[in-house]
Amino acid sequence: MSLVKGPHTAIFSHMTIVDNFKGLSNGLARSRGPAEYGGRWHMQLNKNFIVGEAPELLDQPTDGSWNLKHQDKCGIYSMSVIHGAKPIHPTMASPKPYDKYKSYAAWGGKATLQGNTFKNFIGTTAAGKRMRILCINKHASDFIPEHELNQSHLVNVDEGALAYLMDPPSGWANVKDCGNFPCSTPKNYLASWTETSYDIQNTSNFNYGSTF
Amino acid sequence: MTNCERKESQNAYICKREYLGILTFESTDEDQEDRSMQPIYVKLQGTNMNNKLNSMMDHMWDGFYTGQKRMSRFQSVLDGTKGNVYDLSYTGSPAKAQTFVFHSQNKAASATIRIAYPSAVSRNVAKDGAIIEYNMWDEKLRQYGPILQTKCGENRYMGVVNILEFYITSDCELKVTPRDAIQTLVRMEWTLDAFFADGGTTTFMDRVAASLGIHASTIKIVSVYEGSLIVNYEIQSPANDLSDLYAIQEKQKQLYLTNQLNLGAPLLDISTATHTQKGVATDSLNT
Repeated sequence: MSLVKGPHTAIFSHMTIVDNFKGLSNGLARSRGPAEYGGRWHMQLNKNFIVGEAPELLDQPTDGSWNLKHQDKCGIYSMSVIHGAKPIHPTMASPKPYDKYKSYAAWGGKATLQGNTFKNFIGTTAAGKRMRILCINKHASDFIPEHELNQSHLVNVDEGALAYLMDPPSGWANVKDCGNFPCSTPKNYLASWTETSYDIQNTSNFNYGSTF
Repeated sequence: MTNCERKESQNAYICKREYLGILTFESTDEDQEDRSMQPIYVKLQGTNMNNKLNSMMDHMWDGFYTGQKRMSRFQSVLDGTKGNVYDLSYTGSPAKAQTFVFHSQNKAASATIRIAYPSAVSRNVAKDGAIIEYNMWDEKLRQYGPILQTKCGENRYMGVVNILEFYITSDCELKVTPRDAIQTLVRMEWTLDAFFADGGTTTFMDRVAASLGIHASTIKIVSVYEGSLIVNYEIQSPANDLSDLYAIQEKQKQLYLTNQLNLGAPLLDISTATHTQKGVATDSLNT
């Protein structure tokens, strides 16, 4: 997540993302105030190649230092524009992850995903956990703009693997977070899929670069 | 909702619908972080849809303690199929000033929004800084004409029930703000039919305008209803000048107190006050 000022578009493109429990995301921060209402800040993910789960031989280190086998896996983490964020190049270590929002969501964000390929999302990981293309950032309590997915290419994607939209955690229902009941944004997430194409391939053919 | 199917494995609905979008709205009052309006229920008329909204999370920490501040900003998925009407029911008092925007991938998506207020207070609906007046008064309906969904910002105020209705289209941003106005309620010894037979609201506004020496266009009828006959009207300053408004109010009070304001029938009760964007002025009159 980057901290930038002024009308802005941030594009992440032509990346290969494999085997993540927090998916690829984009985010912007804009100052709070009257200028917040001018225009829509635009987060884009274009022409990326996103793989649900890598084959065993490409999987994580065997020394146990970073074991993703027993995590749910996500291709895309929901995107938001917020009021404050860490700088794009961190200058010091932080105990808080980059995807943890520590400020209100801003007015007027927009998220588009254009021409991305999603491969090998079969609904369940080898370890029996959830594997989905779209997930909600578990810290997104405030606002998630609509996500517009256009010309996505789905390769070996199970029908049930398109998304998992978490319910707002019941733990949010306390006086220091959301009050008497959880913040309702995760229940108002909207993703539209248009001009989507489908394909089935031999999963042993694992050529990351073939789609570019 | 038709063409929507619940997918348990995704904890989501998969819909084949063209006009879905997100309505975002917020309080722009000074106390937008301190006063709660939630839960707010977003109900689609004619369905059982009833979306319960909460405001944003408290992100503020002051040393060991939380800030106890939460921004009153809300988002709701909306079906913007032409003709849809949504009721927004606030369990707290609605903010005086609010901003609304609706975004959909389909630019033809739109909806009528209805907000029930606890009391009759004048409000403007503005788009790009320009106030959009209420629909024309309909003498047959005896209230402002219904929302026909013709343009973003089309609006009307329904007196007695105190409902503000406005129409919003995709990518259109609207601001609802209180306006400076003299609000007056008069009860007269008259029947509803006799009032409308005598020229109705047009004649009534002409009489008020002539007595006060102001233009009839600055007078808005809020509601007309039985009991014997009650007319709720408001006067705005043509120059948008508060001192001008106070002067008009002073004159109106004197005319009422000396029984020189002829509205066509004997007056039974009068209640009037100047409402400003900051509250109610101390120039009220209740007889």
